[in-house]
Amino acid sequence: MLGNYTYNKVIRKCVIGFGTLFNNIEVRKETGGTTFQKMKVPLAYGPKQKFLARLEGQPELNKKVAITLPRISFELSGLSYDSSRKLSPITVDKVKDGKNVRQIYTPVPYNLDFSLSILSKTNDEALEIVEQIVPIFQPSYNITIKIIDDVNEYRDIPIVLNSLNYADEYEGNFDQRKLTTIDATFTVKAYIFGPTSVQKPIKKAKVEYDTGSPKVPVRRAQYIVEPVALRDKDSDGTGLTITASVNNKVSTLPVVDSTVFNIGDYIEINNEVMKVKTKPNDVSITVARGQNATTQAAHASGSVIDIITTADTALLESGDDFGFNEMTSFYG
Amino acid sequence: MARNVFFTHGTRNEQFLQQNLVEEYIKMFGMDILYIPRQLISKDNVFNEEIQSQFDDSYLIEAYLENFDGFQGGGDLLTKFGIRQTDEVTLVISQQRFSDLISQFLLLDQDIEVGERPQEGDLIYFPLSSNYFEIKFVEHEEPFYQLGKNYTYKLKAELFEYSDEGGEFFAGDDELIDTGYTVQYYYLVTPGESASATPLLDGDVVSQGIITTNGSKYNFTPTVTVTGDGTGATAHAEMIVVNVGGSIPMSTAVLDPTVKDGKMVGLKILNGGAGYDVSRSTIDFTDPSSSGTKPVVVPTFDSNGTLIKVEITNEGSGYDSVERIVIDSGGSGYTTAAFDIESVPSGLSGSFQDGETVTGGTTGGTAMVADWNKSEGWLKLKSPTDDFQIGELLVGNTSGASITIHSYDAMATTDTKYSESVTFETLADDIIDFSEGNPFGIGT
Repeated sequence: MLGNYTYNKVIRKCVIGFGTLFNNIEVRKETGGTTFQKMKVPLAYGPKQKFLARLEGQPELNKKVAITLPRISFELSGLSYDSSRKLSPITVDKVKDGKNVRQIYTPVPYNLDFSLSILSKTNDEALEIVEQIVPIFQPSYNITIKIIDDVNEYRDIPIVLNSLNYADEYEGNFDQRKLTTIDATFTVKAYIFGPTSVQKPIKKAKVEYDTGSPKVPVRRAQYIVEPVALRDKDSDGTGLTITASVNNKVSTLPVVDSTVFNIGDYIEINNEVMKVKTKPNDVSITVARGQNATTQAAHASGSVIDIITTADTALLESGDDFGFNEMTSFYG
Repeated sequence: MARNVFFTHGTRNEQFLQQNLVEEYIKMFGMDILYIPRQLISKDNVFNEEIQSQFDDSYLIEAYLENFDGFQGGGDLLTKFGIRQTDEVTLVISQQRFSDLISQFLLLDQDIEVGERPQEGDLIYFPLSSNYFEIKFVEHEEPFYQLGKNYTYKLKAELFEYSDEGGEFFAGDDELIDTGYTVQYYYLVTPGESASATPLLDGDVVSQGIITTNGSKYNFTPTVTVTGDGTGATAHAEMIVVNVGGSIPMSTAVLDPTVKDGKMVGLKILNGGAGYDVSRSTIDFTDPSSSGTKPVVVPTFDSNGTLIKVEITNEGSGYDSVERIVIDSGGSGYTTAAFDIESVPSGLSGSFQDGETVTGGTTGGTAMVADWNKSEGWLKLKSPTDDFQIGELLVGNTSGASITIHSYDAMATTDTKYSESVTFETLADDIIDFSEGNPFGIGT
């Protein structure tokens, strides 16, 4: 029943967005006010496939030390529906995407719970890391994530720091290690989107109507209107060029072969559209300059001539300027 | 009630015998280990923690491995912080041998807290598995006062948690390095080659520059000076040549690119030209001189076909040699002329020593040499105190060797150890709009 495949990778993007906030934390060691050492604190997503963890973490089977410290780890720990951010589910967003208009329904608001853990050798290092993180969350910090690639949708996603738990295990016999860990929990207020659908531009409108009245015979009419390209869209004029440069006034263009043009064709040279009026001989045509609201300009010898054809009309996109081709038919 | 005086509980000679028997046993059935004392350089007196420790010396001593059938501890664990190895050992050493071989040296060192006995916190290099173990407890009363004296120390040790502690022992040990974490990498892959060019004269005017050597490894655009017997000629070098193509314009656009660190960081429109076909025109660039990518730009033309704006969407990379010499002014009065092109930085010279300190000429920061290779021309540094800059000269304090930083990547990761910092940064570039600034991220 559901079966409409969609995977916008929203949650994955939130994981990346959350992770990138903490990838440049630094620890400095100082004595007498002088820094003698700087360390970047490595960050990783905690859960790992076990065989990969073993192959990447211990490629030589044995590590020289237990672990290197300090480290930061984070993981996604839960998803829950957030009713406080609910919007009408039938609202549709429409976004232009090249030739098409994409539409997408209102997303469902979900809270993603993240936990961030800091492991360090000393209290001071742990606090140094915490003080780089905490002031930015008051108690939330917004990041702007491109949440749906298809519709270029950017959303501000608040990341809320909920709590910090500080643990320093030092009591006990000397067989146990002293361990300083800080666990922070965050809520990422995300929106999960459904599938997007494509709406193409309407390129043909047809109206049929009766023109008759009770006292006169019925006469049926049909009116069809279709868009026509005003500019060249497909740059298909390879080989068609002007053989000498022209200024912005002359109406006769020297061409390689005038037989390819029909009287009444619209052509485009560089950024100017012209209409073919006559073909005096095989190597020249006369034109009306500056058609379709374009500016008359000089053109260099060898500039390419594009003929505006139905192929260009087929390439019209929503938002383009276009003309009309209308047709009226009458039926007895 | 006094004890029975007809029975002794150990005479000095009996104690010596017992001590000798213990030592003989350890020598027969034990193994050689390295004892590495911790020099406590500075302490935090608030939290009662070490700030700086050094492990510079090591002493060979024999020890009996009590857990002969395998390591104690929990083995290898997968934790949220990656793999943690929790191996533990219990080693027995002779008190007398420790005193004779090691204590007498430790007592001379002011940074050693307690020189008379093995210290908790000292390290043991365990040669069978090449591990570093940290002593967590020294048991001195097992066995309990036989013949009125204790003869051994039982060292309970677990694998060391490494947090970038200093010392010659660790300086060149690559396996202790989580790349991009305790170490920053600085490379100068090979020494660069300086560019050269010959001017062509048209009458007494300098008209063209013919490049004879493009050069390599420039991280800046070199300056060009015209020398000779005339006056007024000026020229500049271009590391990348820009071509606006795709249509035939009435007048050609002139663009001035700025290249730095191999990337095209700027593209200024000196003259927008006229008559370009908006739908056909593109801006293309010469290929990078070393491995890299071409820049990507989005041009904007007005209705006259004049280039009015260029937006750089990708700066490209690998542009580090001179592509073209452009004559800005031909001057006059030249019968002979030559170009004087700024030389490329000299690269790595001399021989660094592993573990020595290098000092940066610009920032004044220091770092320790973890590894280096002259033929490949790179230097790997550990524990930098500052962010060194491209073009900065680093000099070895002991060796006097030097290297000019051509390029570096502070977060470079060449292996797949714990850190995913770079991965997240790269992926986030595609999906996160940090136009307002990332308060935490790399390169803010």
